[in-house]
Formats: sequence, structure tokens, C-alpha cells
Amino acid sequence: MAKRPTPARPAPTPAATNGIEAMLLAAQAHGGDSLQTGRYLVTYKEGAQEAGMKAMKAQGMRSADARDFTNQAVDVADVGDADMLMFPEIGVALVNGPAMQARGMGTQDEIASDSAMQTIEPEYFVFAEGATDDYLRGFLSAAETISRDLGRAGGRDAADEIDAQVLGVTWGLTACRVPPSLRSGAGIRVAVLDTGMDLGHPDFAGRAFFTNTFVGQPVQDLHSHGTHCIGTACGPMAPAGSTPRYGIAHRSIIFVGKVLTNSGSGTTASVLAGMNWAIANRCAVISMSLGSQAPVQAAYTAAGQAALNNGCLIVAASGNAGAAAFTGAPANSPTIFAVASLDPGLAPSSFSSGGKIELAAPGRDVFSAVPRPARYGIKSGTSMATPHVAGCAALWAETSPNLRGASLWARLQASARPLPFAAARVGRGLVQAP
Amino acid sequence: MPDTPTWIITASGERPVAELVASLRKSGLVVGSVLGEIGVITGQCTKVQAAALRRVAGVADVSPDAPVDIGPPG
Repeated sequence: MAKRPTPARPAPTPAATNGIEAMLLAAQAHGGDSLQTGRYLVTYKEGAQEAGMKAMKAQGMRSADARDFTNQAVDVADVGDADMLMFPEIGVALVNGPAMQARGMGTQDEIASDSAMQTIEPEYFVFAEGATDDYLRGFLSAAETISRDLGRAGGRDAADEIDAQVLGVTWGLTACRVPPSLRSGAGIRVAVLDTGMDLGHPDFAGRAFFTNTFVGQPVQDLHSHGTHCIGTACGPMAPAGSTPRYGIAHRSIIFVGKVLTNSGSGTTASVLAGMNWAIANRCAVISMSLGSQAPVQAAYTAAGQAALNNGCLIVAASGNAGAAAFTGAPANSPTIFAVASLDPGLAPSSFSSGGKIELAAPGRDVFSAVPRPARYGIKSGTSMATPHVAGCAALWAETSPNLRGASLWARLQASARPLPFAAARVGRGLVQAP
Repeated sequence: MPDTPTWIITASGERPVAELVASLRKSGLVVGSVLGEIGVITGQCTKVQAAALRRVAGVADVSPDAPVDIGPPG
């Protein structure tokens, strides 16, 4: 049984009219899709939020504005009977369901191309499912052992390192020295741009998600890649039962940007839209386990620069085309932090693309969350290495408000554990938690 | 019906984005989204029109939209 959700502190998705408990009761009362809160998130196009919000007011919506709250920290109880709560900084309005329906608005509507609105999405909440699954845990334990043995077979000098693994922690977190770290990523915004997230995964009960989709599909992850990446970067400190710890920044604020469809594919345009969103939300860390074997793309370089200018760091997978292949886009952009993959023996993974590499991280046989009903799974790739760096970056960012953007980039490299391999394969070495 | 692929236009930062968007429209781009934070505009037009977009003041780059994925083995 996962830990009970800690009641929302400064509720990251504050209520327009109702408390979370009231909404839960209402959802249970009318049954159906209980993942939806009954409220909607309206995202405005860049630069169009003022006009869009004005239009909503013109339709008679009673509104509250986040700017009216000290430091824009909205207290749920103070919102009163407003139909909508506006967040001008990020161009988003949270609107209650009846107010939407009364004006004939819904998520199924096609939004006119000249509308100020970009998307209308249902807001979701998450609650724990109590059931444990001993059979699965047993399987996982066996899988971890096999993974460890495989690592030892190819491990050579690193055998001692593997033996020193902390019981109940994945090899990757041990290698990154996450278990001894006192940091949790508390208050740090981490965006993962991928295939979405299983928003009801029991290990994330009580965690709030800021979500947005850029591919026309609900954020709910039907692929598993996105959930796995978020699991590594932001998963819990103590999953239920004997499940090993697999998550790093367990108190970070999770931004889920769905830029790849449930088949795991997307286009540059959707990925850029996700990057724009994450930067607009000032996510200190933006994790991108995706790419293409393409030369440097000017748009990605511009996005990386915009991120650094705004105190955000974009980390991206180098690619899985092998040592002979050069780092793919977007990781090949000079403004984006490229991550290579390591095997459990701390040697570069055979699939890991190289050339322009900032750091390396565990990417072979990585255990993490996957969507229900399986819940957990093992995957390999530079995709899995990237969220190890993202999670550690969030821990570093928590240590000082000055560690943002370029200074966070420098600190991650300066604190890395050197490895006896070419910089083109592992960069400055293995990422380490503070 | 001419083929109108999607293009990614990167602004050079020399002109306000809104002004640049207006120029791009005049040059035939059907604007999809304006990503103000990162100075990127996406939209659709023919290859011939895209070539002309490269000469619009304030444009740093015009590239075709391309597939992105998670790649094997991940």
C-alpha cells in the first residue's frame, strides 16, 4: 500500500470552486471515469491569454486571478465561488465543469484556429489503490538479481561496486549515489516530455501532476515509456512492500508533457511545443528521452538557449544508434545537455550514441514504473539514462536557488564521477547526486 | 492540390515575434503555433514558399518538420 497522499500543501492544481475531498466525493457519487475532477484546464495560445481570459469574463464567468494572491500562491479556500481561476503567468485557466457546460464548451470541441484557446483538457486527480501484488514483487526481485548478475558478468573492475549495492534500491540509483543524498527535489519543477504518464499509478498517489498534451491524445500513458522515465526522475522514496526504490526526486513537482503519441512517435513541432510549455512554466529541469538521427536543429538550439536564459536545463538522450553513430537531435544542440548510457558494470552501453556527450548515467536494465496493471518493468536505452540525470539535477537544484540553467549544467559536470572512457562516450563521467 | 508540409521557423530575435509572424503570413505561411518562449513558429506552406520564408527579415532558419521517436532499444 502506497503512502497515503499528503494533503495538497500549496495545491499545485488549485480548486476553482471545490476542495479536493469534495470533488472526490462528487466523482464517486456519479461514478464513471473517476480520474477526472470535473474541472477543466484551458490553455491559451502564446500571447493570447489576456484576450482569451477577457472573453471568458465577457461570457459571464466569475473569475479569480492568481496575481491577487501573495506571490501567486493560491489558497484553495480563498478562491470562493469563482467559476474560473486564472494563471496569467502560464496562460492557463482552471474552470469548473458546470460553468463550461453552461457555455457549451467541452474537451471534445474543435477549437477554432483563430481562438485564443490552444487546448481544453480535463483536470485529473489521483488516488491510491491499496492492493499489493506479491507475485509481481517476487518476479521483480528475481529480475533485479538477474540484472545484477548480468552486470557482474561484464563488470570487471566494477564488481566491488555492484556488491556494495544497497538492498532495495535499483543499481542505477546506487551508482548515482542517490540513497545517501538528503535531497528530495522538494519544490523543484521537473518536466518530462514523453509519451505521458499513468496518472493513477499507485506509487504516485498524492502527487499532483501538471499535464498537457501536444499530440491530440490524452496525457494518460498507453505506451509505458513516459511513465518509466517519470518513475526514474520523480518516483517515490519508498515504494510499497519489497519494491526497490527506483525514483530520484521524490518530492519534485511533476510536469507531464505528452509530445509523443501512444505509439512512441511524434514530430519536431510537437516536441518544440512541449519545450515551450515547460520553459513557460519555468521548470528547472526538462527531461527529453527522445530524438532523431538528424544534424543540429536550429529550433532545438534556440529552445535550449531560451531554457538556459530562463533558469531551465534541458537534458536529452544521446540516442540508441550505437557508438559509431553521432549524438542525435535534440541532444546534439550545444545548448542541450546530452546524456549517454552505462551498463551495470559502468562501461558505456553498446547502443549508446556518442560524440557530443555531457554526462553518462545508468541506462541498461533499468527498473522503474510502468502503467497499470503491470506497474513495474525493466527497460534499456539512453532514454533511461536521461531521467537519472534529470532526477539528480532536481536534487542539485534544491540545494541552491542559484543552481539553475548554466550553473546547474556546470555543477552536474563538476560533481560527476570520472570514468576511464573517452569523453565522446561518457562525457565528464557518471552523474552523482548531491 | 499542392503539397503543404509543416515547417519549423526559428526567429533570429532581431524582430518582435508578432511582427515576424505577420511577415511570414504575408509570405504564404499558414501559421500553426507561435512558440513565444523559444522564438519558434510552426506552420504550413509549399516548398517554394518555404524557400522564400528563409529570406524574410528576422528568420534564422526554416526546416521541415520531421519524425521524432524514442528509438530502439528503449
